[in-house]
Amino acid sequence: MIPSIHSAWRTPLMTLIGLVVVLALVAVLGRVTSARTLAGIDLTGRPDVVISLSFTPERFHLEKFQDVGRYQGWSEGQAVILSSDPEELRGLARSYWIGAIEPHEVAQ
Amino acid sequence: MTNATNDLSKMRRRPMISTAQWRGVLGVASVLFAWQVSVWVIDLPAYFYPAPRDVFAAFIDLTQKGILPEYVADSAVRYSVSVATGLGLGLAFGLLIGLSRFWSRLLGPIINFFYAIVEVAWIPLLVIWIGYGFNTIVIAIAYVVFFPVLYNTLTGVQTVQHVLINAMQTLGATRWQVLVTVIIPSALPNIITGFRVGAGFAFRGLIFAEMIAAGSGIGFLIFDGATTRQTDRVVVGMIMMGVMWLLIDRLLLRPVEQATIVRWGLVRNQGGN
Amino acid sequence: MNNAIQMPPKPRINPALVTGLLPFIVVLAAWAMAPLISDIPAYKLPSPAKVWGTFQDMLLNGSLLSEVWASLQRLATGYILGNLIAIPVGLAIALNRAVAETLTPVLSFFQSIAGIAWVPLAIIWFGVGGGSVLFVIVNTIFFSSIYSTVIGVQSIPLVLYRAAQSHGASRWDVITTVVVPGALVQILVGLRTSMAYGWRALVAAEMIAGTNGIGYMTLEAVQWYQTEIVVLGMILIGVLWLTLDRLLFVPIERVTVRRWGLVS
Repeated sequence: MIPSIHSAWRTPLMTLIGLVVVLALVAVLGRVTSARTLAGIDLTGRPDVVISLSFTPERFHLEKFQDVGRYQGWSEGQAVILSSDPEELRGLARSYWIGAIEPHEVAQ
Repeated sequence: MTNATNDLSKMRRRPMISTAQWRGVLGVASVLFAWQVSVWVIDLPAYFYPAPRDVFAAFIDLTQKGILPEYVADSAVRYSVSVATGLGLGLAFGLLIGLSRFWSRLLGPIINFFYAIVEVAWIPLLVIWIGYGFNTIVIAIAYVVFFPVLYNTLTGVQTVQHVLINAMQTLGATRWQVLVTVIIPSALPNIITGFRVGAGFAFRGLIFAEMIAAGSGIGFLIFDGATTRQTDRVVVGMIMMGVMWLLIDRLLLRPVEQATIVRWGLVRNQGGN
Repeated sequence: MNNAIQMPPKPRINPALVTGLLPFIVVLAAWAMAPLISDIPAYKLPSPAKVWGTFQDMLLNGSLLSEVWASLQRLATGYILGNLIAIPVGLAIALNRAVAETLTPVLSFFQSIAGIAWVPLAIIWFGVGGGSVLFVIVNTIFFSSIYSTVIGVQSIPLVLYRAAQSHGASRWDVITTVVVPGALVQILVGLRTSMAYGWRALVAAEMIAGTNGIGYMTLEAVQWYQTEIVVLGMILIGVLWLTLDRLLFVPIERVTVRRWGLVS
């Protein structure tokens, strides 16, 4: 009787554990890469940034840009966001579809 | 109860993948092949009738852009929260109504009335009251799960063998102890069945709710794909929906059901029905 | 308990009835008094009087009946068509165990996405309107019933087949005496389940892709902030489902219980 209980619970339990492990890994990986992605950005204030993507952003991405700061537009593989919120920027940097984030030099 | 089919299925467990599973794979492959053939035959543009290749490309595209994982996660979170809430409330009220004639008389009719108003009908009103988004969806979907869980808990509680309750009481058990050690375990198979029924309706309801009242999620993906004439994305959404249900059913619902029935079913048979 | 209350004997008043009505009275009273005790705007919570008035207006000018009729017509067509095709095809598939095993995962997959998920595709293919809604309903009913039928046949114990064959039954005899009765319970359950899904699919599809019907009426009213129509629609949907359930499935359940002593 005892083996049958264990085998019946095994699948959902293993799945749950596997799911938790995968999510934990993704989260950790996200944080590690986000630190690297944001290496060159000064996060003490509200930095202006340039985000590079390997694809044309869709509404899904534009909404996220607008959550981060004042989205200025997209051209030649890059999006400019002014006055970005550091916390939101960190969150964005964790996403794997972000190419690179660099400080934006406002041309004078 | 010995049964020829049961003996056969025990024997089939020896090979890693059974004949039935191989046949199932063949069935899926045949459908995919038939789909591709129909694309060649029908010969309409991809935005009208996408081929497997288009759908696969859309799948890759959505994943690379980070859209699909986030939508799946959103749907999963909404589903989990709703189902857990509905389960908890259904269980609580099921026990309450099952164990107290007063509450049964008081709440019975009005619960039956609201049961007739399907969750789909609530969404427009909820949108007016609360607006779009997470809260509306969770309320609507928890509502779906509530009723089957409640009714099945009720049945489970009502069919508890009084012999067992009396036995516990002779041993001096408090009402709480009787509840926890006799009534709930005895009703557990029914509760799980109600949970399974509710979980099924809830999943469909979630996809619908996301079409109307959300800006993310698999339901939204299906709907949005149609709005932007990206039919390949529509099909990606539909397939993901099927995959998600497959995972929920196979990896969570069925094993839980097996575990409870396997364990408590034996107890039931021994006690006699 | 009731002995303490001295009243002239009235055997008709059932205390259970009174307690059961209490919540309804409370809800109605709270609803009616809402504008007095809170500042919920009228567009969010129309008064019961307003809903009743709208009901009367729509009934008199015929619009209510035409919406209800459109929905019911669609449901009946979809239900009959869907089941009429699904059950024989399901039986045919399930007769051969190899075919049944091959197709069960596919059918299970389609059953899990049946209905709502097809609405956007239907809009692309057929446009907004009754055609799309009917397609979705037939789709829901079809996949739901065919899955039930196949599972029903597959759950017949092999013993019964062998017993029939050892009595010299021909293939047709086996079908009529073993397969159909054996699967009948599951098919009847499937009839009920497919109606439950089909009803939801009807309302939902009308909301998204319809141009008339109760579902359409209910969601459309949100755009115009005509909440009284939304509430009216909801009540109608509830009443209609209760009627459908009572008319169709209580008799089926009685037959099932009486004949096979089962509770679904």
